[in-house]
Amino acid sequence: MTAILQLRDVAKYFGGIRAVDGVSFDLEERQIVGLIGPNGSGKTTLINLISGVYKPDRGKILFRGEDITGLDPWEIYHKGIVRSFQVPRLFEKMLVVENVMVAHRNQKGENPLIAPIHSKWRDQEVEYARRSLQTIREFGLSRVRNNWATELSGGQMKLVEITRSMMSEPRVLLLDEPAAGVAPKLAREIFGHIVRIRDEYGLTFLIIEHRLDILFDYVERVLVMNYGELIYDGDPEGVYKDPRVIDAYLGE
Amino acid sequence: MDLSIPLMNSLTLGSLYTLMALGLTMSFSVTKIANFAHAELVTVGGYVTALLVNWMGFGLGESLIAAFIASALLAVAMDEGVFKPMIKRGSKPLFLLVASIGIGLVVRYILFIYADLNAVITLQAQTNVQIIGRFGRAGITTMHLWIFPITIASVVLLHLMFHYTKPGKALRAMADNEDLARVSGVKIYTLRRLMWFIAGGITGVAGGLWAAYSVITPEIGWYALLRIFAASILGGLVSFWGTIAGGLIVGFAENFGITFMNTYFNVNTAYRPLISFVIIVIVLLIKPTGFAGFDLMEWIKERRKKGGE
Amino acid sequence: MQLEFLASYMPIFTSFVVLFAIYLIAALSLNMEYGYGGIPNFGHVFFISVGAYTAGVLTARTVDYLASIKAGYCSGQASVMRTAYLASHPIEAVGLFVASLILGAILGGLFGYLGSYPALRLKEDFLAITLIFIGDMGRIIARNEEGIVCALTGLTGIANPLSFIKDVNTRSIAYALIVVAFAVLAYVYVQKLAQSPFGRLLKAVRDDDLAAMALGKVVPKVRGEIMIIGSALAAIAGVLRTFYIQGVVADDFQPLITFLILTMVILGGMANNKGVILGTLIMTALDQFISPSFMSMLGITVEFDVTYMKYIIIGLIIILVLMFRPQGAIPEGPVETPALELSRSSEWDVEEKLEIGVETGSGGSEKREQGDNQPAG
Repeated sequence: MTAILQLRDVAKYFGGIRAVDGVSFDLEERQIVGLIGPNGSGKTTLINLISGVYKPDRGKILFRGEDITGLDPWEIYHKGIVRSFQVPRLFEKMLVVENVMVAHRNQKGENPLIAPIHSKWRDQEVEYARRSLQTIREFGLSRVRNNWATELSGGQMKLVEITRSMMSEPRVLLLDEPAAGVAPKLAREIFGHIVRIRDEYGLTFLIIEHRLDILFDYVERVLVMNYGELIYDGDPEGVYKDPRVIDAYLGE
Repeated sequence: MDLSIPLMNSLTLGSLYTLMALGLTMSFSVTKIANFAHAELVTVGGYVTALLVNWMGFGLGESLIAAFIASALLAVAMDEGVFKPMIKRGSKPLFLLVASIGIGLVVRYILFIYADLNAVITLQAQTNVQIIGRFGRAGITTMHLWIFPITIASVVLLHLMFHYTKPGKALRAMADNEDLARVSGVKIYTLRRLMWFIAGGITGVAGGLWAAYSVITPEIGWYALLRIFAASILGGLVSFWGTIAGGLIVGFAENFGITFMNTYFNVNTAYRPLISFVIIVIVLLIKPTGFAGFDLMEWIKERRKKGGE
Repeated sequence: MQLEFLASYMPIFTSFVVLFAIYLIAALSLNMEYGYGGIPNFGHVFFISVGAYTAGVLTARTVDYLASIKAGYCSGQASVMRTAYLASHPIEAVGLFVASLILGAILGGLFGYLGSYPALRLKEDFLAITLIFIGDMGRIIARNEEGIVCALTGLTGIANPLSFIKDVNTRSIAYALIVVAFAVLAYVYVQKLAQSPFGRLLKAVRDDDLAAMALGKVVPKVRGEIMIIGSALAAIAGVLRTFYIQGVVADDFQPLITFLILTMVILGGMANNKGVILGTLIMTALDQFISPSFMSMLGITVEFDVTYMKYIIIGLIIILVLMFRPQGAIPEGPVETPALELSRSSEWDVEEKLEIGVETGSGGSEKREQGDNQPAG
């Protein structure tokens, strides 16, 4: 297996706080990896660092061997790494289908010089629309596709975020608590979709999740963070046996 | 160049801007509303003072108390009538800002109509101003004996309130984190009303002092608003001492800046407001937090660390 | 008899139409920047003034040069001579009009691009504060410099490009038609722009810039683009105004003008160009008819300047709309592209039977308050 995403001694400090303090690991292609740790252990900061929201103070991030450290979020997106947010960030005054349509890349009609001439982008728009609607259907969101984003339930919002991420044909998805605040049944279904798209499209996942009972049924590898450091990297079964993890996280 | 006149002007206007800006900082830090109708609190205070002194024969002291009450009530009314209902409906901060512009227009032009009907579009409180001393070429007048002590007393009283009284401490907690204050069982709406009352009141007093010091029009508050925002923004819109420093900096920068540029570069004195404007732009673009959270010891440590590297 | 009666009202009608059309261009431009783009450009009047000053300076300086006018730039004599020159040289007059439009749009766009710089760094309310004051600083400079638009006196003699037409009524109707044509073009343009992937992109950046960045959108570029487009349009409104009132005075560009235009957008409905037409119509009527000249025409005597009433009403409209109907008269709808047409067709109603069938609720189980916005389709 080849490493698709590599972190080398990545660190980020906020004032005196070591949010992420020298984290290194490799993500293998087609892996589903869980990232866990107590609140404030630096999990979300790590995702923000990989996705370009923050620039690391130290260390390197490599994607397929290419250095992507410090690139802007939109550049990271175009490389093929897409992230979701802890609290779903849908575009509120837009329909579900519009939310998905926005995510396509290289849209001709996004150029303000071409946009007013509708014939120049109509064909591409229709093609993208078909793909969007197909994916919306695959995620079981057809019934709400013409609803406003604000009319969805929390779980549906999470699903729209994942649907939307698929539009750029990404290689790596970074999901920040895809099942938070969602009923257990729907949570398992969300993870079912994750496994499905991994198998179908060969994606790689890094998933932050607090609900370990659900998470451990779907991931093959778990990373545990505490105080900005990586304290465990291995299979889910080993987590409960590792003394450092028990000490930092499970013993709380 | 004789600096005594710009120095006295800087101190006088700096004090007035400080008082006005403290009101804005208080209301912004607690409610997060950038209140453009703050301008009208100044104007109303000024008109109440000037009209009571000129028409009713009140003393300046009583008139300033009346100005305090009038502007305080107007501030509470703005919040109760417009801001609070809007916040309950989930309005964004920017909508509250726009609504405050609306309130400002209504109050300002009602004042204009009143002033037009009574021929008081320009007005100054007729007080018996006497020169009691000299500082270089600048005169020290009885007006200064009103302005400086009132400013200092207000700052001291506010400081005491925020640090030694229960509602004051609760207000500071609210400014830091409203949820926290709610959880600790503080009566949030009573506190909010109290805050608007005091913030409006001191702004009104500043307007009253301005009316005694100089000529006012119904647009005086709008004219002052640029300076008020400049002073408050220097304090990050949340810091008490930062705002005081901000008010004085604006006063000094404007008076010295324009005197200097007029003397040496022949710059038109009408460009005076550009100085406050430049302050706002520079602070917002370079350090949007202003002086807020500025810790001298931390700064020195940081400098040492950098020097050591 | 009746015709004469109508004819006497013609000037009022044409002036109303011209002002409406100019305000409409300005309001559509603010709606693009603020309604769609989420940039609270409350210094909007400044960008209008850029066009207005450009038209004035370019025309006056060029005519002074072509006609070798030696009288002072700001003198009344120069003004009379310019008017005479433009009336007798139709090609130059129209040429200067066109050149002013082009140059005004370019300069407006340039200043708009500069204005997008703070938009990248500041939260929206701080940005609004900065832009309000930026807008007024331009006026303070212009009202103190003789060389731009003659400080407080104002620059005059910028005659109408159609002043070769001798009959005053014909001329003003012809100019009104030109201005209306520009307003129609502006409306078609912004509407095409809004109902395209670019419109969708603008709304995405407006609703959540961080999420837009995470979806590959170059947010600073988008903000720059919409500020250029919006400000160029605003400047065109300014150019048309200068040639309409045949001069330009710095103090006409008070922050109040921004607030009047903002009221048009808020009242009509943000991010809805049709709503903006409605808002502009109502506010232009207010602006025109609550004026001392109109009151005296109706024979109403008021003890005070009635313009004050106008601003009180504007203030009240702002407050009431924001309190009770923040979405405006006609609320924002979705971006109408072919994708939406496709999505509305029932062929996509059928859910696919996958291994993982997700039970979506009714879609309305957790409905939040969303005003009168109805789901499309």
